[in-house]
Amino acid sequence: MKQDLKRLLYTVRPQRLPRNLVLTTGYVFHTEEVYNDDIFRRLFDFCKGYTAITGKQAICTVMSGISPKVRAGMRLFNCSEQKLADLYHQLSSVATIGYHGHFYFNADLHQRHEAEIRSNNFSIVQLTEQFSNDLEWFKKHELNHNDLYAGGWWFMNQHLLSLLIKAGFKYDFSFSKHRFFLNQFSLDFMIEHEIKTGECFEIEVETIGKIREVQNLIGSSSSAFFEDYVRNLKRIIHPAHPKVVGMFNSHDYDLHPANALNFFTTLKQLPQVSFFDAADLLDGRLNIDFRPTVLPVHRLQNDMLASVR
Amino acid sequence: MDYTVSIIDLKSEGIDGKITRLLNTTFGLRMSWEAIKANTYYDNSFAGSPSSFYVGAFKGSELVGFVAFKSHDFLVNGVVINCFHHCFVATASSMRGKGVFPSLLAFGKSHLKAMGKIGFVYGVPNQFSGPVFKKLNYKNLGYFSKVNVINTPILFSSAFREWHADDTLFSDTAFFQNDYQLIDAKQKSPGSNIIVFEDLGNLIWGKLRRKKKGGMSFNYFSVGGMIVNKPYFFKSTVKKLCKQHKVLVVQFLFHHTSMFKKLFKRPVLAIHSEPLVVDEVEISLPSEPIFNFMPGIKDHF
Repeated sequence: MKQDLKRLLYTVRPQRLPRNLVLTTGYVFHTEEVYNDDIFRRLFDFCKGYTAITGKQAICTVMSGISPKVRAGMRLFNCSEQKLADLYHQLSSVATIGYHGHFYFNADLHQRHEAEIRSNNFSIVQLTEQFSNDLEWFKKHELNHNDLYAGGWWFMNQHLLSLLIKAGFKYDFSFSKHRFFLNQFSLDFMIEHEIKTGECFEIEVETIGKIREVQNLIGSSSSAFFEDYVRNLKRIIHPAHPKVVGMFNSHDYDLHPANALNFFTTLKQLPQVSFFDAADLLDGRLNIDFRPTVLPVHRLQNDMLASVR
Repeated sequence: MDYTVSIIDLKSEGIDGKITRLLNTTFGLRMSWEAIKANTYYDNSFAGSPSSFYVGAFKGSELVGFVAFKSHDFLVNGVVINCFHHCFVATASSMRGKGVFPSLLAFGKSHLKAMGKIGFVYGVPNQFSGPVFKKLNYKNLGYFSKVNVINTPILFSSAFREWHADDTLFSDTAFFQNDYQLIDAKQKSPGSNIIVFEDLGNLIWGKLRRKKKGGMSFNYFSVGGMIVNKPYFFKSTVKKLCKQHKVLVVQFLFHHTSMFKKLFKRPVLAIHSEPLVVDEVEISLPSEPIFNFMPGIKDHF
């Protein structure tokens, strides 16, 4: 019924991308449940299909096998750490692997919503420890994260940026202007620097280093209507910035492969749309301007607290 | 001074009865030791922080003064600051006017200084204890603000401020209560009935209460704390909370400096609420601190 109404609505009021829009796009997965064989197979096949359509590889940012959320799932599906790592290695034949972090106040109590680190409520100690443990796991299993990161629950802040930069990460896909993917630090930063949707930027955390940001645009997981994606995209595009570079995103577990592939097939046919992948970014083949921005080092410190650290 | 002040050894025989008697006599209550302990003592090892402690004034073996220092961590820019809420301050009637109350607090503070790395002590004094804190040079940081969201078609929406694309709810200088820790502490209190409601990354926790007004009886939800990651969806989160728990009124109280006030159209100063008073131990508060505190930080919530 809802589908019929939508079909009717889009017949009466068609949705088209703005004529002046130039869209350069990639795909990033928040990969969280490939310990489930069905989800792995679906994702694997999708990535092959995506490449066949676009000529580019999707990015699968993956969670470490010591993340409490993943461990709980691994137990349910009888998946060992080694098997999970093997699945990620297998995935790397059809996609580029990156790192996807979820952090908690207490990893043992990850099932409690209040233990999730999402924005203002966080602890540097827990964040640093879990970040470093995750990267150790990647190392132990010889898994290359290719210096690519996407934040779980879209969590991002000055401390996580510093950790990423110190660990050598080059690209982050955690910033977004879409209402479902908003993080309050990220949005605050983009507003302060007047960064528009689809504008790439580079953040220099003073005295620490730089990381490049490619924004997330919209999710691409389930809808059968191309018009849905267009409508969502139009909602966040800034009229003064029609040259949009950004990512579509999805979780592995809520992907509808057929609909998503149809979407990319339609998108590929539009002359104003082109695709890129991690290799284009990392090899500098893509002609994109990354606007320089600076995050002052004092945002990482607080003199008032020096005595209680 | 005809009394001595010391840390109360909770293992000493009969101390539970002494504390219970003193508090019940002073406040005219009939609380059990279990209820008193649940409200005043929190083993903060859950968060790797120091535990709560009690300070007592003794005349011989008689307990004539009492104060609980309840451990609670605040968060500022990701730094965990261990603080203590002094609560259940009681002096035996025979000892009033002998400086027992200030002695208890001063002793507690020097103990905290010796512990090291403690941020501040805070209290929410009533009209009787308020003047004492003033004499002791506590900083009075003012009242809480209040918003009652009434779940009827027109009134519901009118409580919320329209959230715009360029509005944010971020601070790297504000003090945040540690809801993760508070929920744990409150859930350990017998019969606490804490409800934690999550929706799209927004979390509201508190107590469902039944209220009678004008012959009507209805559910109202008293919010102890919240973590708002998606302010754009905050209004719909509250709506869903009302629907799920059949709530007519949701009461939000937050310190008047809190950034949560941005979420509402007309927060009013709750001048009958207890103010927040603070005494710095190891940190110096900025001239205009932001306290994102809600009633969950109070011992009796």
